Order: sequence, then structure tokens, then C-alpha cells
Amino acid sequence: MARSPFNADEAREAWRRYVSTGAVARRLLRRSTYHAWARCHDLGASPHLLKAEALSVSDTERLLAEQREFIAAATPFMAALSRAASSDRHAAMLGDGRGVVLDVVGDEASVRGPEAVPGPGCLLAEETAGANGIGSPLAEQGYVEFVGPEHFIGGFHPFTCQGVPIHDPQGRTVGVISTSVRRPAASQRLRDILVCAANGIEAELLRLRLERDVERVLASGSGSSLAKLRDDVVQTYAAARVRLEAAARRGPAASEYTLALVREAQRTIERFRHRAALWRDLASDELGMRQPFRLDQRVVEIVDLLATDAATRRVALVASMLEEARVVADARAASREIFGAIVSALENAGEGGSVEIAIRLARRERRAVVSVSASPAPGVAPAGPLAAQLAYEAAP
Amino acid sequence: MTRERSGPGPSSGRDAERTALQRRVLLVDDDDDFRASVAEVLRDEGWEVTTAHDGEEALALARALDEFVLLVDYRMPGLNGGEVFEQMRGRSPSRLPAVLMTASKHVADLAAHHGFRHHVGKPFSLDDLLGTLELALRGGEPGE
Repeated sequence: MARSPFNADEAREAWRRYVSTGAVARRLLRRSTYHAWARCHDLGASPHLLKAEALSVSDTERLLAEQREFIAAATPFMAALSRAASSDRHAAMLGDGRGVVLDVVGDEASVRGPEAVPGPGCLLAEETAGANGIGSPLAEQGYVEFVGPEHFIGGFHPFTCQGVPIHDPQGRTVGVISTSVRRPAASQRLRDILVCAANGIEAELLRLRLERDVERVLASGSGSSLAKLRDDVVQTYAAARVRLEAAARRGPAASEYTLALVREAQRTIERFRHRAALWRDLASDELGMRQPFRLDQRVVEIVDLLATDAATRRVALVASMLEEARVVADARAASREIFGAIVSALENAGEGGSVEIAIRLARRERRAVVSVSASPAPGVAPAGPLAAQLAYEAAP
Repeated sequence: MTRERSGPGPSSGRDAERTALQRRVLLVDDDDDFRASVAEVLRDEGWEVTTAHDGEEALALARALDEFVLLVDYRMPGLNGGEVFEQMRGRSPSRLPAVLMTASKHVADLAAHHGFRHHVGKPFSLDDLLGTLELALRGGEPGE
């Protein structure tokens, strides 16, 4: 059975045994470290390497050019991570999906000194560099930490490394972000900021995707409303990023407050993801599957997305009479219909008016009906129809 | 509305030129979370921060402030950031340094249209924001 808390003496002994006998001492290693070492052993990695192998200069240049957008997306988060670790000798590292280093930010000695961490072009996949903060999170598909002798190759023993994989908006693993500090422990604060930074990079990749989507939506001539809504969605992400950077600027002394900021940034990133997914459904012309979903929850999400738009139009948007309704429908298509009805109602109500949304469950007809009604300000002629109803099949 | 005067922050006193100028900002944004987070960072950096959640409140608060940098969001209920700046500029005989913030891709066009010399696109890095505010305060040109 693998051991749970880190023990430096036992890890050192495990490494000494492995180097001399080739046996992985399960009882002396933490579970995640044991699994990483077992993988490295099977892959034939050598623990005797003193430094990582690297691509040629021209291949590195080509790779960096190919990954320019990803590196740029990660840059502010790398800077925040480096700032968060700045009291130590440290490096924040970015790798691609194969474990090749793309970027390193840190103090001068760690980045360019005689004992610098591996730089751009270095190969840190487990099969070449053993268990480490870049290759192992990719293999493990999750957060990984190695302290000193838990690294598979001796050259990395002065460092404590933590890494987290990064996914694109389709869920594919596109890279990894990690920190290396030159001391035999890593702080919870740095770990939380690292995880949040990985989520932040994923959010930035999603923002870039929304930018391309909005160009498509505008080119199709179907949505200046959607373009403005995209700005509101991005505003959510902007708030998360300020929080993360603010947390990274705070020193270890303010750790509780910093952790609260990071947690809040995480929550805001989740909200951004959720809103972005809804926005993409609204901007898409694809059809989905008919499946059961909560109509009332979807209406609440659409109303939330439109809150700023309604406020800038000076139209009160009210969704107070929402019966809980589970329906069977294409959720994407239904969302677009409901969104279209609400936007029309906002336009027809005009400045000073109001829009009310209700859901009524007609149990006998097994239908749920969304009613959208617009009321212009007193004395103002409506710009168009004042009511719309959309009916969906109630789920059994 | 929040109005707070903070003591010297970590950065104040570093630069004689900075301290000679009033490092005071009127921050206007309808997003409560965003406004609070930015305000806190600015206070940490030694700025005196007054916040408003919309243009009307900002115009009312501006009457009581001597000199300040206006840091304003574009898309807000009521007056947009450009209209807030135009109205403030119309009232004030002196120079009004101002920075426009927006998540719109057309941030530069919006800024030019309303006469802002400085702008930051959301999301921004705090270093970019702080640098732009300092530049606006000193009357510098973007890209300096």
C-alpha cells in the first residue's frame, strides 16, 4: 500500500532503491508518486538524467510559432503565478499537450541561471523526463505534486513542482501549467492559485472562441443583440481575472483573504463558462437532441444573461411566475425561441416599459407554456406585438 | 456608493512625480463584483478611490471631487461611459483625464468616438490598467 503524507526521508530512500535495484518501493511513496514512477518504469525512463532532453532550435521555433495563440492566452496567468510565488526562487512553466515546454517565467536564476529549470523546447513527457510537474499532470489528467526526491530523475530533486492540465473548449487536453519552487514544500496558496490559473487559461481560450463566434454571428447578419450579450458574458470573466490577479499580488501573510479571492475567482470562472455555453447555444444554428430538461431553469439562465441588456434599454425584465417544469425538447432550439421572444418583447416594450415572463404547466394537455408579455411605458405606443406564447411537451 | 480614503499604499512615495499629482480615481461600473475588486487593487496601489454604479451617480459624485481620473465602463444602464465622460467634460473647465473600459471588441473605436485618449479592453491585466491610469494622470499619450 502506498503511503499518503509526504515523507522526505522515505522518498529519498525510495529513489536510492530504484536507482540501485530498479524496484519501485510502493510503501515509501505517496500514491500519485508511486503511480507516476510505475508508469515511468514501464516507459523505460532513466532516473540518471541530469537534465531534460530538448528539441532542436529550429523545431522549437516552429513549435512556438504554432502555439503562439495558446502562449499568449496563458501569458497573464503565468505572470500572476510567478508573482504569487515571487518570494521564492521559482518558475512558472507552460507546456503543450505532449509535455514540451513552451514558456517559462520566474526569477533570473531559475530561468537563466546555471541551475535553471528546463526552458522552451525541453521534453518533459514522462517517457523522457520521468515524473515531473509538466509530464505527469498530462499522464494523470489532473493536479500532481512532486516534492524533491519524488521526481524521477535526479536533476529535478532540488525542486518542488505542481502542475495542472489545461483543456480547450472542446475538452481536449492542450497543455499544462506548473510551478517549480526551489524548496522542499509547496504552499496551499500557490496550489490554489495554480489551479485557478489553469481554469483562467481555459476561460481565456473560451473567450477567444466566443470572439470568433461573434464574428460569424455578425457576418450572418443575425445578431447585434448577441454581439452585445457576448460583451456581457466576457464581463463575467473580466471580474474573475481581476480577482485572480489581486490574489496573486497578495503576499503569503494575507493567505486566508487570498484563498477567499481565489475561490471567488473560481466561482466566477464557472459562471462565465456556464454563461458562455448558453451564449454559444443561442448563437448556434445547430439542432440538438430531444431530451428532458428543466424549462424554468433555462428561462432563469436566459433572463440572467439578458439582465444587463434589459437594464441598458431601461426595460424592467421580470420572471417571477415560473412554475417548475420539466419538458422534453431540443434544449438549444427552445433556448433560441425563448431568447428571440424575450428580445422582441424588450424591443416592443421600449424604454420605460416592462417585460414579464411566466411558465404555466398545463398538466391535462401535458404541456408547459412560456408566456412573454411586453408592456410599454404609459402613453407610449408599442413597437410590435405585446405577447408571445411558446409551448413544450411536458416530461412524463 | 462607496467613498473611502486610504492611507499610503505600497507604491506611494516611490515616485515624486506621482505624489505631486492627486492619485484619485472615480471608478464607474455597474458590475458590483468587478467594481469592488478593481477598487480594492487600486487602493492597495495607493489610489484614493471613489466608486459609482452608474453614470448618474458618477455625475453627482464628480461635483464633490477636485481632481480625479475617470475610469468608466462603457455598457451600463442609463448613460453609457462615453456619455458620462462627455457630460463631465462639458461641466469641467479643466483637463479631465479619463480611461474607457469595455469588453467590446471595438474599444478603440468607441474611445475615439467619445474623445477618450486612453482605454483598456476587458479583460485586462492589472499591470495594464495601473499603467494606463498613471499615463492618464500624467497627461501622457498611449504607447509612451
